[in-house]
Amino acid sequence: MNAADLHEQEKRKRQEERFRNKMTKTSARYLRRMEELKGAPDSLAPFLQTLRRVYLEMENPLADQEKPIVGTYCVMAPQELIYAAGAVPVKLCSGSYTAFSIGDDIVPRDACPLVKAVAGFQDMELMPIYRDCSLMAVPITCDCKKKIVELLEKTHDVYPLQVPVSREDEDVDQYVEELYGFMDRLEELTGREITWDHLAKGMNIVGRSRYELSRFLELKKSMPYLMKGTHILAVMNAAAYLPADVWAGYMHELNEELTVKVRERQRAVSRDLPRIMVTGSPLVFPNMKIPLLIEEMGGILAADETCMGERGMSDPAVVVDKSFDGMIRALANQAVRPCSCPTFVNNKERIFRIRQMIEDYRIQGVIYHVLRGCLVYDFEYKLIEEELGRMGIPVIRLESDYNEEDVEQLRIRIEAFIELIKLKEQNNGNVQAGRNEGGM
Amino acid sequence: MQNIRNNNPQEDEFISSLKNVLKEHSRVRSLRYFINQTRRWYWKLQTGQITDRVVVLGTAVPEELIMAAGVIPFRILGGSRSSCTWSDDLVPRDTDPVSRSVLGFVQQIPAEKDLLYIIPTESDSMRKTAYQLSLEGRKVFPVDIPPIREDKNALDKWTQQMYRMMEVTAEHVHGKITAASLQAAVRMTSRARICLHEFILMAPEYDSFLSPSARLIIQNSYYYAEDPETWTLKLRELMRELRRTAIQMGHSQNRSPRVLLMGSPLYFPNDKIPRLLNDAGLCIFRQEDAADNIQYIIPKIGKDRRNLKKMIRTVAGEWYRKDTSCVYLKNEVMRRRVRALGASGQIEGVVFHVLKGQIGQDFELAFYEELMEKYSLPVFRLETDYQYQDVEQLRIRMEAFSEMLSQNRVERKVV
Repeated sequence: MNAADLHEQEKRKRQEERFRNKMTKTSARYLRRMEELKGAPDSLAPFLQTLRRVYLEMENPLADQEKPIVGTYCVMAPQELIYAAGAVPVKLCSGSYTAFSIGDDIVPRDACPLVKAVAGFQDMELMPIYRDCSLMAVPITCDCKKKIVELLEKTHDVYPLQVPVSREDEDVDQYVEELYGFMDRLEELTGREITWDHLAKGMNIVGRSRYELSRFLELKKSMPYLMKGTHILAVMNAAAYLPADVWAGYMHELNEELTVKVRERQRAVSRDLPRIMVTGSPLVFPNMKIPLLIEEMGGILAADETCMGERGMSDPAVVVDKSFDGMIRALANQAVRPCSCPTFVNNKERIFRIRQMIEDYRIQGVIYHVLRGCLVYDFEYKLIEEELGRMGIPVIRLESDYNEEDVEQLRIRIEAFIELIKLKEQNNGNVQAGRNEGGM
Repeated sequence: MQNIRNNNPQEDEFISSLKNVLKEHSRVRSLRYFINQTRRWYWKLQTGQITDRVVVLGTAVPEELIMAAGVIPFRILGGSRSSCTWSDDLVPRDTDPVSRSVLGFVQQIPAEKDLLYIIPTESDSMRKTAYQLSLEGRKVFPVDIPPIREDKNALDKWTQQMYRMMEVTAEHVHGKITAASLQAAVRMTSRARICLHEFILMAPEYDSFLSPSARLIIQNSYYYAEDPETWTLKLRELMRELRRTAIQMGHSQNRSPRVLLMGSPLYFPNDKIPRLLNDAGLCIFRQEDAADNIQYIIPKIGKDRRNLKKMIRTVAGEWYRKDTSCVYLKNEVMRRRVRALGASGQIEGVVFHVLKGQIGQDFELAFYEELMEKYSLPVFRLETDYQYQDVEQLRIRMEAFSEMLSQNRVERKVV
């Protein structure tokens, strides 16, 4: 090895060391802030521990599964198929600021931070969760995801899935074909033929986790202050790195604890705080600045309509036809029909879902989160703003990036927004009181 | 040209640009037809006289399949700085200028007009533009271009889209698509494309008679032509005129550094880039972008000319295999073409044009930088939008690039 190579090697080593230090420090800081938020149920611990293992201890929680790991970059790649093939899925979208800063030099300036973080992780090759993937499934939902495929192919086997732009019958048929192609690739990877039994088992594994999630959502609906939104995001983020059955087990524990809390009317917060919903670009750990700011500034994150939150997991596959083809069709339907991702040309589903969530969780204000460069979400802001205006729900658009430079600015805006909601509620209360008095 | 009033900034931008080109080329008589076609397109947009009732946004759809229904689609390509202002309130800040301009143009057409909008969803912006227009109550047909060309079903998916597009078009215009009508459309467009290809190859040799802006108008006018047959004849006439003038005037070949201009497509009146290149003393030897790619798409329907289904498949296949828009995971067709051009030694540098917000183009750039390094060809990334604020900065950079290419020539000679 010559001097130049040695120099390069040492430089890389130093860079890796810096990356590890920076990433673990940032993740530790956010994890600590999440832990310090009061009102966390005891059963939250394993979820936080999972995030700790992935981002602080840099472990792969799936390593003990001794199965091929299939990374996915979107919820539209059905996990059921991956389990059926005898592999285990992991969601690879990340919110790492450190990986983002590395990726910033690799992909174009205007690419979204999520894709920059992906590029950063890929370049550093230090995170076991990425390194250990035998296959990466990339549903093509936006221009950046489309172009990241080539980059990922440099180090991994990649399977892109074409997501239709509409939800008509023909589009679902097309996605069924897409899933069959994905199935072939998975069979090739694991050497196991996906039979009816395997698929049914895969659907059961995922089905159980969805059932536990639906129980959780019901509990949350029955008591809006049951758990803080930041903690819920920790639960949802942990799902990315855990096998569905393990996550379902943890969820079961959590649900049991929350059931008792509901019965005893124990709330996460002692007084009524403004209930805020976040919609838009996903909130992925450790990019927890917005949920933390909401809850540190005196609001509560009562719901999130993002693909890393409820949207990504809440819709179960509905099997009408129990044949093998019927089950694949159910998976395609589940991925395409109810999905409120702005990748679709016509996205009225998102408005319906937001309206429903506002009603279910008694939302008083909406934060529309746009990751810089995430154009598809930004496009829909105007429409959502108009709709919420009609409903009398205040909304603000928060644009942010994967760094902490904008935290103070975000803090001021969130604080003002919370004040606005309080004032609005106060005025509504006064008007109501005035009406009641008038009536008397 | 006198009958056009300069009463709004957009009209001013369009008309003054056309007037400038006309003034610069007073001797090239055959150019008038192309200028008039562009002007007529603008007039139709302004007056809403879109007689054939089918509007196509962008270039990513084979027009012969629409023409088979007996209509000439009205194309909206973008390119206008002032039309962007019409859509400013409708789109996010980071939207690319092409989508902005297209949406701005469409906003000038009353929503209640019975038009069918065919919108290839080649980017996030175009996809959401389709949504925006459908919310306005316009009849929209989004065309989904399968981005994974390696997928064995990709061509089928695309062909199915084309069948659906033709059905919707025929129903909308009450037209009938037959093997004969498609055959005629294919012949007509193929002739025009062959002629366009010939023109694109010869134009750099005659750049003392035809400025890059004029070339842009001619190339774009393919999409604006009301009658492709006449357009082809007129282009042949223009080429003859150029050759004749060159002989009469003892024209010598351009000795400026030859560059390949590629990346985001250029649409008139945004002729900023070709003008700047010209001013910096660079010769656009070749222009490779998704809009000019049409010159290579010549479906061979010989055997299938009586079978409508087969013919549609052939046309769709030819288009899908050769398309060079940024919609694909990898733009292999464009890469092959550029690789061949780099290896041929015909170019001395590459100007890679990225319109702000066209992220797909920016992702592609890395490949070309790596590729051109093999041929020791410098790549100049030029990021801009439709505004003119950055012109002086770009001019300085472009001049420096031009000087560098000239210096490279000297060094090569010395070696």
